[in-house]
Amino acid sequence: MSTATAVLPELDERPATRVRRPSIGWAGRIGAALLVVIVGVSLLAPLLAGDPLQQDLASILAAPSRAHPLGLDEVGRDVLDRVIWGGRTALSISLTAALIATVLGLALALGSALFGGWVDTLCSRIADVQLAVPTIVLAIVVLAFVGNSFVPIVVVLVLGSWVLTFRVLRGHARTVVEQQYIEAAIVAGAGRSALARRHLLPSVAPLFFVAFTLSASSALMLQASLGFLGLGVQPPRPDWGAMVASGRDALSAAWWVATAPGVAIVLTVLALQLFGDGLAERYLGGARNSEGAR
Amino acid sequence: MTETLHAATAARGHRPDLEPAPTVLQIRELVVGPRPQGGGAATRNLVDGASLVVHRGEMVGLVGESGSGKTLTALAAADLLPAALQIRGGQVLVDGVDVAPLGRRAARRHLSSSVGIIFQNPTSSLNPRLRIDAQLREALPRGTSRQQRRELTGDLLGQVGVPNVVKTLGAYPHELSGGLNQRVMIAIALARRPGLLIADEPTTALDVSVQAQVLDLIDQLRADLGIGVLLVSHDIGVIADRTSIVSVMSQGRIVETGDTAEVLRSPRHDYTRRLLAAVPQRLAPLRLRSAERDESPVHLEITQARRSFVVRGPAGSRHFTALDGVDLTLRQGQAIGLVGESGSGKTTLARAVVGLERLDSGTIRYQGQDPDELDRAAHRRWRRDVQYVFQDPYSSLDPRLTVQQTLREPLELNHSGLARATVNRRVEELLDEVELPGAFRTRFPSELSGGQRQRVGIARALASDPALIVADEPVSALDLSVQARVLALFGRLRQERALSFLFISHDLTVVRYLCEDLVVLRRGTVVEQGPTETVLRQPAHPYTRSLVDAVPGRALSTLPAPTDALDGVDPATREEGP
Repeated sequence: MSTATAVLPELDERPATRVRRPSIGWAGRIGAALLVVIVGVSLLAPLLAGDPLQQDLASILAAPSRAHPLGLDEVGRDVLDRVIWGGRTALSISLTAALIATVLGLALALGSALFGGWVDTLCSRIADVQLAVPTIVLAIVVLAFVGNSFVPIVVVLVLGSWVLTFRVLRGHARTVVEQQYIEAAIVAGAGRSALARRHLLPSVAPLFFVAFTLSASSALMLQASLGFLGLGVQPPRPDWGAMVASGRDALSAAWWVATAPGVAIVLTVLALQLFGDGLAERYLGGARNSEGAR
Repeated sequence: MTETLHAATAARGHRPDLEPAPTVLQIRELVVGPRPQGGGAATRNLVDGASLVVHRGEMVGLVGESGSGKTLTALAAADLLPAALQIRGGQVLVDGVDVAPLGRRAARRHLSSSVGIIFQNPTSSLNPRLRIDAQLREALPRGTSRQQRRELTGDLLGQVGVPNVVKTLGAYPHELSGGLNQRVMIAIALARRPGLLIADEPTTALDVSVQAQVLDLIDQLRADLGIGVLLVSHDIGVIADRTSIVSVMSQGRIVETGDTAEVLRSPRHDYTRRLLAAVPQRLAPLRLRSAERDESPVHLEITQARRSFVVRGPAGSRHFTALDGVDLTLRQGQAIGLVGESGSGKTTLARAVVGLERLDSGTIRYQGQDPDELDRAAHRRWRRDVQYVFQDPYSSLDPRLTVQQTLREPLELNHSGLARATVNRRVEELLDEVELPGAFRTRFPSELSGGQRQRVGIARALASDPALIVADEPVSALDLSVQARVLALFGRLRQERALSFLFISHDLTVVRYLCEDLVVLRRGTVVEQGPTETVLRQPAHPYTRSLVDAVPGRALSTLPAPTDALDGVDPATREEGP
């Protein structure tokens, strides 16, 4: 082969060079860092925080001090302890719901793309129906009947957020299924499951993670809203939404009671959004370059 | 570079009866490179000192492979370089005027009245939302009155040989065929009576017969109007037939310029010589079988294949019949070339053979059996036996998989339970078979050139050890030299593996090289079939004859056999490594 190379050196084409993915950017890094802190603190709650139920009835609505950095609430419980423990509640519920919702969305999206026809039509119509029903109304109805414990809340959150993943992944998977390399794989002997495993999953994986972070942030918002409306986890278990609701009455006298959990909600949602945007920038931007530019 | 200029003048010198016509385009030592970004180090120039002269009434060819800089040279002459590039040196004189010092506006005004340009894809060069009439009026020179414009548009279309002028004026580009749109583009290019027409691959996107008509038109306009034409093309056949002077370009440099016939007959530069050796007309045809043909068992039998599609367009949906009762028999070890123009149904038939397309009626039997009626195990065997090579080496490889992963796929799917080491060894063998180095295993498609990707595509088809390969225009997306090497690879595979071959192509010369038998499709029916030589020499059907006549490169076949070191070498070893 080396002698042949000497014969036709100029005629050889120059291959394209490897495309470098963009980084997730400074905003994405801030989001990731914030997320690590929030998740870490929540996981380590038993070590970092005291008992969130312990009351100090003598100093109700006490202002922040050295002993109680975020003050005490209306029944004399430490706000910081409750915010930290509340993070466990918020994250466990919303991350579980987001995971189930995105996996469900992924499965339906791949099924729609691979089978097409009535499967696709059915899934899309269900998604349309889902979008037509306001999630918060659905949640109120369901939780009013079933009662507000962990499982029903997760179910309601899943119902409210799977459509996002489904829509985004279905669109992408359908364009992938139309690619010629899918036909090439069929000729190579691939069935639907092999197509999904070898070509579709790797292709939608980046989108899946982006959809997961965005679903998680919307699930967290919804979960906090339910807590605020009194449809969240049962008191006295600490919950950010419920804490904002109860602190609202004392807002003029003790602003810290409602503000601290409110800030926690905002920061967590922000962290998830920033991280999701960073991932999108990195993977979807990069994918666009390497495929679109051929 | 002055040497090449002298050569050009000298070559014209053999017609002393002609006054030297005035030059319409003169490019001197043109250098084109990327615009410097933030004071970075100097990057490679894409055009590096190209010089070129076009006289009135003369058709000058600029030939080269992709990336040679031929299109950039043409674009630079019309001040149409992409924003990221700039002219870094040299001069461009249009009608004797140096454009650079004029300033942007004045240069544009000068160029717009003295240069007309047409591109490869006429349909995308026209505005889809405007009628042809409006686009022609827009192109007319300033100061033309409304009345005049109305008359001139019709005249222009008449001049470029549009049959139904009134109907065409009222049409939108998508309602016209590619050939008609290219005629409209030429009319637009000529609307301001320029002295120079730059044609950048004007017929590459068109069918052969249409290509011949469009080139005839350009040639006739050149003679009638006395314009100079710069014909940029990768197709050395087109250049050979149409131009009087040719410049051969490689890696940003013009390596050879001269009288076209002279350059082709006795190329002086090495590159030209190698380019000519790669022309499919000049490859010795591969003939592996002759006498034993009729004794071989029937491998593939297609009877009365029919398929139609519903095409939804802006004017409502209509039926398009892709296959209209096609019969075809392919025997063991035979190679059939399936030729036809776009819309003839050749790709539909190929896809139906490998099961990517269903037939409305008719049967395709492989070794006497319809794959749809096979049981599971037999169907898997059929799937392994019948493989497909795709036309587009870009979209047929998953961009996320390395070469190794792509080649593992058919191995793992067809022989489940193969040991990892065995699979890896097979991958190495396959790469070796298509002449790619083993180190390419870990590369992604984006790190491969078009020819290398097509080799990976071929290796994938070979992975399941097939008996029949259906290849749909596997070399049409490749440069001439790469095409020759991939064709040689196909030839070698035919010899070594005793494969049956169904080879789809619009290019008769490619089919002539690789296939002993030829089937001509037109509008979904077989109009002629038989041994390739017979059909090409004495086409029985008028359509076949028109196809054969339209093939560019007539001038090439009269050339003496190449005395190049490459020729006479076995096609397999002629292949170049990456």
